[in-house]
Amino acid sequence: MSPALKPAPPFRRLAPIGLALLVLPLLLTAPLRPAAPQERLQRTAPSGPHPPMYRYFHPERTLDPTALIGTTLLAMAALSGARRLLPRRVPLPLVRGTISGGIVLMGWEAVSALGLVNPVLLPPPTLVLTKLAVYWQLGWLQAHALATLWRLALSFLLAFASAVPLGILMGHLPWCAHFLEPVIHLLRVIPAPAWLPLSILWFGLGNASAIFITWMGIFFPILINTLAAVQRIEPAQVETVLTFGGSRWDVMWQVTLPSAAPEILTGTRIGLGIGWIVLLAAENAATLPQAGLGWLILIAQTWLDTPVMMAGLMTICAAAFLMDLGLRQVDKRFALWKY
Amino acid sequence: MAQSVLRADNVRKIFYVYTDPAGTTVVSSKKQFSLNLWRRRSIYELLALDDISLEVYPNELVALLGPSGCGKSTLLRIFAGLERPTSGRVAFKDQEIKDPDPQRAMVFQSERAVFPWLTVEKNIELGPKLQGVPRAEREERVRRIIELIQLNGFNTAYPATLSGGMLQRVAVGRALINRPEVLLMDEPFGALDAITRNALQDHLIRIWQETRQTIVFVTHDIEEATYLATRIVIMHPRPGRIKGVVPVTLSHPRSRTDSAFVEARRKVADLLGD
Repeated sequence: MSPALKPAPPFRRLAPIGLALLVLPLLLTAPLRPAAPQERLQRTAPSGPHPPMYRYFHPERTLDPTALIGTTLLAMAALSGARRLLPRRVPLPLVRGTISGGIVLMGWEAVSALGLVNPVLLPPPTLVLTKLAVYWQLGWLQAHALATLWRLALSFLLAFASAVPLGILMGHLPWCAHFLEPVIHLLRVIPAPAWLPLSILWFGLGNASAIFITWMGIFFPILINTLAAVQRIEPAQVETVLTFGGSRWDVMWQVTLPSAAPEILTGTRIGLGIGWIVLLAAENAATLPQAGLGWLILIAQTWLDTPVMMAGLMTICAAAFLMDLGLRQVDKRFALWKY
Repeated sequence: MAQSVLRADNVRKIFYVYTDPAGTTVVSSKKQFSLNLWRRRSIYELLALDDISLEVYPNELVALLGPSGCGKSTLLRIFAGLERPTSGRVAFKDQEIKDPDPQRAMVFQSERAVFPWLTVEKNIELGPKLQGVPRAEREERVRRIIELIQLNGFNTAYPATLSGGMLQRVAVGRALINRPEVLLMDEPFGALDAITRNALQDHLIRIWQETRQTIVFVTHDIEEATYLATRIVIMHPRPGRIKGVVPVTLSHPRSRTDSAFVEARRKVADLLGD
């Protein structure tokens, strides 16, 4: 192939410019780096519209911004540079994802460091991570996360255990679907958090009302997906089981559940996403005293402790992402045969 | 003559076709009465099978041949026990057919009848598993069936990775593992291209010669019926009636270009065309 036909790799050409843009904030902030602990308070900016402790040079911060930026740059460079050297190549999406994630993280740090935004409203990631580490060491973060996860798990189990059997029942018995469908479609369109004031009257302030509305949020996506899947079952598959000596019960285990499983999983993924929304809305509405990530964020807001608020959001992000990642792995198994 | 495996006496089958208030057309075996005085459902009766009498003997390969809508699939489903005749009697070895039974295993036309979530060997294992055959015997039977349908090496493949012809072989093997008295096939090769269909017809003949399995299959292809069957039951539509029965005495394997074959095919086509 002639060299003229070979397209120039765009990334390689743009890499020096991009790298320069990334390093520039680092160089600009270099003279402002936090000094040794004993000097820190002295170097705090003396005046400004905000109290000194909320300036970029936060006295509690132990994480050096250059460390964060340096580590991110190093990871990006290592991944893109070592790609060809490693025996099993690092997948390209991972490299690109690290680069875009790194850019966002460093940009965030930079806008805080350069004073482009009010650091009280957008604390730099180094400060957020510091707070995260402190709360982790104190065990508070785990306690709040566990409180939220426990509520979510209970609501999810209740919703799954009620929605799947009901969906199968309605899918198998048309008359049952005719009776229930209007009710379900009317209830389904009500956003679950709208039930909160009423459920507080019904179940009181506390876990019960939060679990009730979270159940409402998770229940319908699973039910609708299960119902649709069961109604679409291939009659030849059911008749195969019947002609091979199977009972109605065998049809359920051999055909209904396996063929509906991918759609039940889709409903579960949608439902869990909605479950997080509803549960956090309930916790943010101060219905649940003393515990939960939503409650932590709410309380941190009253203290104007934005790093803790950000730390709470990061924890939610990590937990929800890991859950969805796990469900995506299950979904990959279904991809072997899904229509 | 030997005792018949399947026997139909004066079988009639009526379907009730009606539009429900939502406007969809529904075909049902049951007569449904409407209490809706504002908008009567229009019910009419569709006579799918009228006065069908037929006997199938052991080791026969019977083809039910006819244009679409002549009730041949309905007759097969009645033999399988998936439908009940409106009147008349169907018997399997002198016992009235009431429910589906593994002794009358069915091969469906749809490719999706093979469970896509199970591997080839799990699909084949389905029948014995439902009947509670012990695992060791099950594995042995699966091994032999996979050899019979010549799908060695595809044991753990999912149906999505197989071709249409291989899928139909799995469907046939999955029915044969039940050791049925009679194998019922509903247009098994209807959805395949001509080359694959010819190959599968030869497969079926080989399996039939090896196992001497009684087979009843439905087709609308004159050549397929003439190539495979030892006896062709020709049906005509609206109402579904048996027009004639043609025995094909040529020995297997047959040649499609042989003059005797062409003659037999012409005879079938003439009878069908009247």
